[in-house]
Amino acid sequence: MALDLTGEASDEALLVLYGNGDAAAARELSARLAPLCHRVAMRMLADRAEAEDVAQEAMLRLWRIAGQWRSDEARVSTWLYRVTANLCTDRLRRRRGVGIDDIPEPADGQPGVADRMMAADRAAALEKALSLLPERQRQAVILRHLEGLSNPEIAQIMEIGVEAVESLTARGKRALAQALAGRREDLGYDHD
Amino acid sequence: MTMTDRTEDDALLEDFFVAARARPPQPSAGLMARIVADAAALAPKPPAPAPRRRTGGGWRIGDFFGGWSAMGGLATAAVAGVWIGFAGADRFGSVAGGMLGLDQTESSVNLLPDGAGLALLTDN
Repeated sequence: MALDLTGEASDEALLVLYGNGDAAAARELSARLAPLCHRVAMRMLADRAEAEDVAQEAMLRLWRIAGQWRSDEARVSTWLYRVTANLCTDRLRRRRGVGIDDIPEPADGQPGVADRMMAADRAAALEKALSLLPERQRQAVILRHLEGLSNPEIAQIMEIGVEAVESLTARGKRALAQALAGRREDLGYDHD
Repeated sequence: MTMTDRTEDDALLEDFFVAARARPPQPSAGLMARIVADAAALAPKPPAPAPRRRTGGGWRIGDFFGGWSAMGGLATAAVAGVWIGFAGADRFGSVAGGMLGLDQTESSVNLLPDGAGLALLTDN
């Protein structure tokens, strides 16, 4: 290519370029979008091997449809979120279900663990609590509060109405709060 | 649940969300390499230049149909379907190419020399 404009091009423009055989466009798209697929899959599945399989499969499907991508349709990222979420759903339904009542035990108390724990431990605690949620609530909470998407976009991704999204996130957050509240002291949560 | 409880829960959760957002899981180098390799294997090829008819011996699939110029688009697509079955699906990424070559580099997936595809249908 005479000019390297890939850094400024939209995802949709890059996909069209890839569809016309531009290898650099695919590398840029991979750098931008593969982390999205992988991140969502990791948070949904909490299993690195499965998350990598899902991410690779989601991107594979993107490469396959590149030639038919219509720029007036949904954004590439919305499409990828949906494909990733559906692939995760498929995987989760193959696993044995885990009920919301299966509250995790608090971390083993070493002497002096009343100290404030690092934020990394809070992230890990959230990951574990998320894994206890029903799949649709988990998905809605991840997309809303970890991916930072709007309710209308989540509605598009999950193929439900906006009110349904709000209901799922509200229920998911209540369940998370219940699961995590029991660990406030362990996690150095100092609110009074 | 009272409104106060809900607000406290939201505040509690927000700390966890902030911590989790600050630590996103990152894809491994191996995963990124596989994804880029898939893209290379499935990359649509730019269309081949229009083949020039040449006389000469040898089998030419266009001869079965009275020549390319005599065929409309639908017949051409039908011939392309025969060609895909004959030569392998890997050169037509949007059809079935994804089924092949996931572990292979681009050069090992192509069954034909680059550019040879459609030209072989009418040229020898």
